[in-house]
Amino acid sequence: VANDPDDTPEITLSLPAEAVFAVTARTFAANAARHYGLDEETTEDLRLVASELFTNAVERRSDAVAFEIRCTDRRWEMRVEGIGALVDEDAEGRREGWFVGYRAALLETLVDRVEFPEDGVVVISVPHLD
Amino acid sequence: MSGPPWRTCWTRATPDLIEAYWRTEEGIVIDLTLDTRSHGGWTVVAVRGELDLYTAPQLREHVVQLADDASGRLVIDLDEVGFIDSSGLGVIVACLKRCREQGGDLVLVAPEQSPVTKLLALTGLTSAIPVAASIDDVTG
Repeated sequence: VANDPDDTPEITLSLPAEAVFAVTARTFAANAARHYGLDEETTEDLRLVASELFTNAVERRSDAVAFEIRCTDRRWEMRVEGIGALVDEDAEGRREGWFVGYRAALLETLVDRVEFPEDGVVVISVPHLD
Repeated sequence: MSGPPWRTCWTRATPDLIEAYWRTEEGIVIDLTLDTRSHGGWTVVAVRGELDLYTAPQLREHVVQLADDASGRLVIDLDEVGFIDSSGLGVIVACLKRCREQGGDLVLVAPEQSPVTKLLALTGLTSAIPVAASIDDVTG
């Protein structure tokens, strides 16, 4: 846990983009959700979101994935860097091929705000009411 | 890149049982167990653990072999799967396709309120993949 300039607690994790670390990534996201008091259903949705984003990074052959989690302005926010493109039908490394194009739609179903501020970066957030 | 020094993996496999173990600093964790048996004319693969891009290929390899060798009527029991993502679901879709190519069929067993049924609903695959609440509902 680190502190940013305005003292908002921030939890960070960087992992190699290797399949073996998928469980670490989603466990981290779920634990961070519980840490900030999110309900269990939302926590499980965020576990799935983290797994999908990490999977995307592995499929896109990224080197590393960095998670940053914070609560700000009544929202729980997770910024993930290194995920690669979410919609690329010609991507190599896709395991089954059937899920092409669906991952971004799945994310938007699971959380109410998904933003792509730059290539390979996604910021998802959910309401966090004290 | 080799694995981290604090985590090593090995697999124990018999004709009916596959277990993947991890040795961690906290002890030994079984990531995925595949237990195969016959029940009412069906071949049942009971899965325990979590299905993601790391573990799902084990299920695919096992079920594809069964689809080629067995009678073609397969049940994948996901009652004890605590987590599944699109990688796991993709493998299930591949297994279903393989079974049907072999002239057989594949049915999933999963409780109504489970990660599996939720992901099927989210991805719109509920009507594409047969799901039963219990093995008895399949083999009846």
